[in-house]
Amino acid sequence: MGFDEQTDDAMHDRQRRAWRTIFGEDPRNVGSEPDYRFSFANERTFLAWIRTALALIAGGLGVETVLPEFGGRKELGLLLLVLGMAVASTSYRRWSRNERALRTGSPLPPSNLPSLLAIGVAAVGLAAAAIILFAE
Amino acid sequence: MTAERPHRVFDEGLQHERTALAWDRTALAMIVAGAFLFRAWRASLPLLFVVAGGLMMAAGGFVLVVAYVRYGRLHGVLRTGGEVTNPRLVRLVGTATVAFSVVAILRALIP
Repeated sequence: MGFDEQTDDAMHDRQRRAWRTIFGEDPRNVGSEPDYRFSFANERTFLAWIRTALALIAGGLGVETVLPEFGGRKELGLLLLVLGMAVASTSYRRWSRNERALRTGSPLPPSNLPSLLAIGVAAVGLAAAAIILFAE
Repeated sequence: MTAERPHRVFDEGLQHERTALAWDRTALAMIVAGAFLFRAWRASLPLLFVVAGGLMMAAGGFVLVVAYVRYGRLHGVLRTGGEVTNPRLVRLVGTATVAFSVVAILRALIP
């Protein structure tokens, strides 16, 4: 009985650590509740990032499955999909970091994802233009 | 007898409504993106893609319902003051989108 409890505790401990590695600390554990308008604005920003990720993924899937075959199609679609995954996988932690900053009254953490995304989407556009221009 | 109308604006700038609409738009985007994978059933591809697409569409529907319920519930919270953030819902949407992107990449890698 005691042994089972111990292994159970160890397992829960591991799960808690893994959870914290992925999602970080619950932002509600620090500071004090900010003006609700700031929380809502942060939430809408998160949702806008998610929609951007979904648009990139849907675009990538569209390139892969709807467009007719052409040279470089696979790479173009994959670039969109990877961009979508990068945006999606950083979105929760970004929301959480912003929420923590709002709750502690510290400056919002900087991010280089917007510039990365701009460069990525520009690359996709240039590649698509090149394919259209130089395909016979 | 007519009920007295509220005489205090409890949500200046309609932040609450705009946030609820942002949730709705995101849920619709989840459904549309899910449908993109779900249509793989026509190409007789592995069941994984159809299931993942269906799950994403279901998740979008779930978010739509939760956002609606939450919109109503938060009216009370905003009047009385209290916690408005919901990390669990944020986590759900974030995780679903990441999982979906992984399956979408697998789909693209299939010849």
